[in-house]
Amino acid sequence: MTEQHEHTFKILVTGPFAAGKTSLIQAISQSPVVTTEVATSGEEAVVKANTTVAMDFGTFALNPLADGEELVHLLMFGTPGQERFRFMTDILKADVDVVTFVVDARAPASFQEARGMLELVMNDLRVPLVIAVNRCDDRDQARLVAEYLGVAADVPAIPCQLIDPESGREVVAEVLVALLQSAESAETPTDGPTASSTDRTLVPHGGI
Amino acid sequence: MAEGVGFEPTETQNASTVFETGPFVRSGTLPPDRLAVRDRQSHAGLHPPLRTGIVNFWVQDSSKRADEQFVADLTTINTSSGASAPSLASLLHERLDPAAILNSIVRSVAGVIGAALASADGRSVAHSDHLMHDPSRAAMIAATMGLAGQLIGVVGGRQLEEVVVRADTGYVIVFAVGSEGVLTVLTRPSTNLHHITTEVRSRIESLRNVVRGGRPA
Repeated sequence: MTEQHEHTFKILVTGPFAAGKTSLIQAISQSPVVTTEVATSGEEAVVKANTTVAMDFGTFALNPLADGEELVHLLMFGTPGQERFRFMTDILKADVDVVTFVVDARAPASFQEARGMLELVMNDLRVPLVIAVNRCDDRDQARLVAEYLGVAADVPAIPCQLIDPESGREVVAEVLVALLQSAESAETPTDGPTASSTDRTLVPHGGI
Repeated sequence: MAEGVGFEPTETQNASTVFETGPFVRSGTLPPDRLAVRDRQSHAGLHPPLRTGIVNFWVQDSSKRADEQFVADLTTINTSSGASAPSLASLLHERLDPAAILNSIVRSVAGVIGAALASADGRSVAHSDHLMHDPSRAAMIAATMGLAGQLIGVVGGRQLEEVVVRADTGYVIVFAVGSEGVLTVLTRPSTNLHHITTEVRSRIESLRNVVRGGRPA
């Protein structure tokens, strides 16, 4: 471990409709976010005006503070929330390193669907999971929501207000911790695929 | 009784004028030269020219109409209605009903074998008759369009005209219908892409109202 090492990790941001997935990526991303938002139709238009139809894409880089520290790149891929776009989640979840599941604490009607969705996303993945409980200020309440989603007690549940970029940073911090922990547990030589993220190419993006 | 001569007994000589099947006056009879070639060949020598002409003119005329109907059936093979002449009611229906508009695209644009309309956020609105209802198709089309719109921006384009996907079975062409709808057209494998996009584009305006009408106030 000498010189500068660069690590790129792929983060999947998923969750039910109108949970705050796009907001999270917009809050965190340091590059212009690639969104695929269009006008919402039907009864969903009452909830919000625009919705993601393919994916959101944003990046986050953690620059090394000292020599020998590693540069960490996060590539964040957000999915649409509606059931009919489930195929996009299946495409985007390939080769992912961490799953961030966003849920709206003030939309308890979505919990049931969220639970099934989370189970479906995670069932063939062996990667860390972070629950971002949007529109929530209280850790205990966030824990409660996470329990309702059926996740284990050691899965972090972060209360956040995703309209606020600062709040998004707490989620990123938790994602980085989760990456670190999974990297450590992979140090003990097993078949862990965690540190194999060397030559992932950046999806091109630019002035829109 | 010979075939192709109607219900009247075949007369070999001195054709009689039969009530309602033949003209009573000479001016109403056709000169033998204009008789049906087909019939004269098959019944050569059996009928006196005049008699054959009158009867077979009618027979041939009706069979021609049947042929025309057959051709019409072939060209409207994908439509449910067998009506050949559009009535005012059906024209009105076409204007208001998205499925009817899609059917008319399939019917009238050569090479198109299916059409589907969806909202830009991936809900199925309508599809032409022989396509199956498939909610994921609408979502995939919306996702394709959403992504293509972003791609256009990255390569310096300003306006997404259409997305063309070519498969072994033909083209899948996706058009924006305003900002709130997407129209998908499926074609045969070998087809004039330019012709289809031009023809379909000219019909998009009528769908725009349908998509807009589907939104809540």
